[in-house]
Amino acid sequence: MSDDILTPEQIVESLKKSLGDSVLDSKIQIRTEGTKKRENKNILITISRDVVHKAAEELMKISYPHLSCISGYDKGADSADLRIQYIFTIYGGVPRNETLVIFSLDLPKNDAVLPTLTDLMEGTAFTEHEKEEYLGIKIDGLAKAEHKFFLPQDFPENVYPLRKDEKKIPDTMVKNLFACGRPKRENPPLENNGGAE
Amino acid sequence: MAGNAPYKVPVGPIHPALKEPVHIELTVVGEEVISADFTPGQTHRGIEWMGLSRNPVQIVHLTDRICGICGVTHSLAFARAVEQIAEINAPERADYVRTIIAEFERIQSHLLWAGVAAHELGFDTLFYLAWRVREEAMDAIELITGNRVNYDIIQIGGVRRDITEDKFDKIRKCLNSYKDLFAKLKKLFLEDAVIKSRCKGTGLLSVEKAAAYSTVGPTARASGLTADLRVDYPYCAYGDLDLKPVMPTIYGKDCDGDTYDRIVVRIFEIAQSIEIIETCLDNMPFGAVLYEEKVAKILALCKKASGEAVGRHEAPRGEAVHYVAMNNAEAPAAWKVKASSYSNLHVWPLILKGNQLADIPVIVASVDPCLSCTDRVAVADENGFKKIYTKEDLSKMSYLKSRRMSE
Amino acid sequence: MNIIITAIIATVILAVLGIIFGLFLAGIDRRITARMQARIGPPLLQPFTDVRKLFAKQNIVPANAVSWLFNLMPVIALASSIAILLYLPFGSLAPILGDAGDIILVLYLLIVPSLALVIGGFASGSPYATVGAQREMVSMIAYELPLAFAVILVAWRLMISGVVNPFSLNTLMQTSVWDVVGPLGIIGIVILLFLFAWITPGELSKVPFDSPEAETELAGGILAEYSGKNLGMFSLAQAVKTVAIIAFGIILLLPWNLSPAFGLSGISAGAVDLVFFAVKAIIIMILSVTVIKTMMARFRITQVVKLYWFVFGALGIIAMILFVADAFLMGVL
Repeated sequence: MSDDILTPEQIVESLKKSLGDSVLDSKIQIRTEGTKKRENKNILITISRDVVHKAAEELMKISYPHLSCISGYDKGADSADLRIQYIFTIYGGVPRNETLVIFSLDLPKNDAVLPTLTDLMEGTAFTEHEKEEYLGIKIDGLAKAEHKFFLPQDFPENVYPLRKDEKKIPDTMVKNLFACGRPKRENPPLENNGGAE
Repeated sequence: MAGNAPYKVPVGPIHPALKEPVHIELTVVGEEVISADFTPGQTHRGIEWMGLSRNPVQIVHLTDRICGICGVTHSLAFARAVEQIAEINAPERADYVRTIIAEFERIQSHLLWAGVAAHELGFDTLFYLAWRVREEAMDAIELITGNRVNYDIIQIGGVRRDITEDKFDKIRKCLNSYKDLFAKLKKLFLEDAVIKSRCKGTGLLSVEKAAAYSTVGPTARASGLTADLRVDYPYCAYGDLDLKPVMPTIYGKDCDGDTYDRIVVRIFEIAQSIEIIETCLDNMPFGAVLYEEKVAKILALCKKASGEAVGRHEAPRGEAVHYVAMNNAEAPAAWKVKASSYSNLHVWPLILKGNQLADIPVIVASVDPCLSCTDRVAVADENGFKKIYTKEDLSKMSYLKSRRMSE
Repeated sequence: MNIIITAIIATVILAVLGIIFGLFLAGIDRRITARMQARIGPPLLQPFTDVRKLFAKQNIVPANAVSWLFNLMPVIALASSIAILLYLPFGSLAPILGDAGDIILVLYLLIVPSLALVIGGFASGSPYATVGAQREMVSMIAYELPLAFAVILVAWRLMISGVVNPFSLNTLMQTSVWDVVGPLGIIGIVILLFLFAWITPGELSKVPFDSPEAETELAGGILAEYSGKNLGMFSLAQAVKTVAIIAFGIILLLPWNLSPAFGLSGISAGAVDLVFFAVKAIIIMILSVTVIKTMMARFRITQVVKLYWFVFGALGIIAMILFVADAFLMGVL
């Protein structure tokens, strides 16, 4: 860990150097708002699925990161992949220098396994459990939870809310309130009877 | 019978100490908690899932309903994410309006929290005081947005209402009343002997654990992490201000990461928010408050956009994150909401362990948990049989009830 | 035979009056608390409505409760609270059973309703009630120490002044402790008054000493599983106990009556003294229950014990030293 604050370009360079060909794509988004147009920095990096743990380790060498959450989505019913994002920030607590680092990766649905990061930061377990429950990803090395954290305890097995393929929420679980209609009245009130109805 | 020690004390999902549904199971010996487990997800609503079949402008209104207290947090974070993808720049005046309303939200949220914390400690007089003075912030929010709870003021590309000059006086009056009140609040919350004795040294969260668990907001700051998005990550009008994160050191004490420090941070953040609003009112740039008035044009821009972005906002409880991915379609390809409490809840087992049962409610409350709302009701009848009312049942029952009331 | 019938009728009348006055005190307490918190508060008669509602509701006995104990304890709590009233004078009305018991008996009787609560809590088989019952036991042990100081010091001071039978309530009615002490003793009595003001909320489980019931921690604690008539019975017992503990404090430390000042006698004296008693009771209740409740947060149970034993216990010792010194100076020791 060094004390210098690296620029987004330097961070990307450093990660590319240590991860090599596993960095598939990188992009820096700078955003300015307000009247003084001070910049906030966002780095989006696509990596291959094998180097998740190493990428987190390398990021840790730059500065102790903050893991906002792990996010993910199903690329579609006809796609073979899930897309996972590890949303990190580094330099949190350094005025005007916090830098968002997002590691994205494609994860094949038929081999949806990711390593746990709990050995690096123990607090990642919570968001990893969420990925297990919502997307059906198996997190390798994560201690099995005694109960579900995000879904009702009686939620059916092998159904994952954020999947779009055959494991998605079946239509029978979707409640369209407008479709259930109003209960029938035994004595419909007269129209224009001047009453409270 | 409850069995022999150690025995289990369940707290929640419905419990007077909890304003929102979460289940905590405490293993207790005598009065001491030896371990704690928690189960959120009691009321999963599937909002993200709903969002994936809606367009961004509709989702903005959906985000308003994620939380009743953070009325602007989620819509602001979501709008900022979409704006980044669609390359829409909100006008400068809109940035200021967003900042002002977000800070009012912080004032009312912290006061609400302070009241709840006082109630958890059994100090109901303070609870009534905090909630009474909170009304002023609610009135100011109503003046600005037209609503007290779900503000609905954010739009993709700006805000839906401007703060006009004629409202400035009333807003300033509200701020001045809070300035007068601040010394009183500080004295009541921070100098009361019982509050001190109940909160100091309880619910400890070390700075290392706070970092390893990626905690956010006042919970992290009370433990000594200086993280505050408003300072570290310039967005909206916050980049124009010279802010310092509020740490417990502001009250001349070390960062111990106990319940008391969390009270200190929140009470002083109220003062900071008042200052921020005043500065923003004084420096409001002129101009429009919307990038594009016509919703259809915004939608067209969104439909053409593709890419991914993260919108962040420092909510009263800490960092809220919305990840959005769009792919030349009406509905976003992905939408992930990370509310601030998401990053704070999971420290409960750590900070509850080893504490007195009496202090559990206030420690639980000290991270300011915010889990949102109802999806179903389970009712147990006298014989212990459980019947779950579905949304359809509840919808029908509510129709029948309102008919009965009007008869 | 005649005496027994009189005693029974008097008991019934006293029970009804005690309940009415106790609920009325609760109404005043709630109303004044509300005003101090800038609320409007419920009507004065709200506690009556509440109790009426509770008695109209069904009892629910938890599946894993010991039901006979669970149902018995509210009755015992109410009966023992009413029994205390039989030994206490109200104004210049002598206690019904004044000759049959003394203040030590009252001290014991005051424990019974709390014990009934504890047993009821354990019998209800809920973890909240179990923790609440444990706390109630601890707080009973805690407030007994300063209470014993107050009671025994007063009786001792009377005794060494040559008063015959100082533990009898009839004696206490006729002889005020204020009349026998010197200036140091008066300071001692003021300390005892202060102690009594802090014992009352503990005895009644009010904030800041309400940890056995702690709403936010234990969801009502000891009473968590009680509902309907049983809960109504406990509310009545609580109301009567409020009257009893306050009347006990009055007879020990503030026993004056108005009638001697006006030279009244007979029924008019009794009536005037009863009204004066009620006024004293309301003032004491406001000062020691309402005000303390409004300005404090709840203590942890460990803090309750520390406070009662070490702080109030120390005050009791100071009062004792003052009493002894006073007795010495007055030449009675």
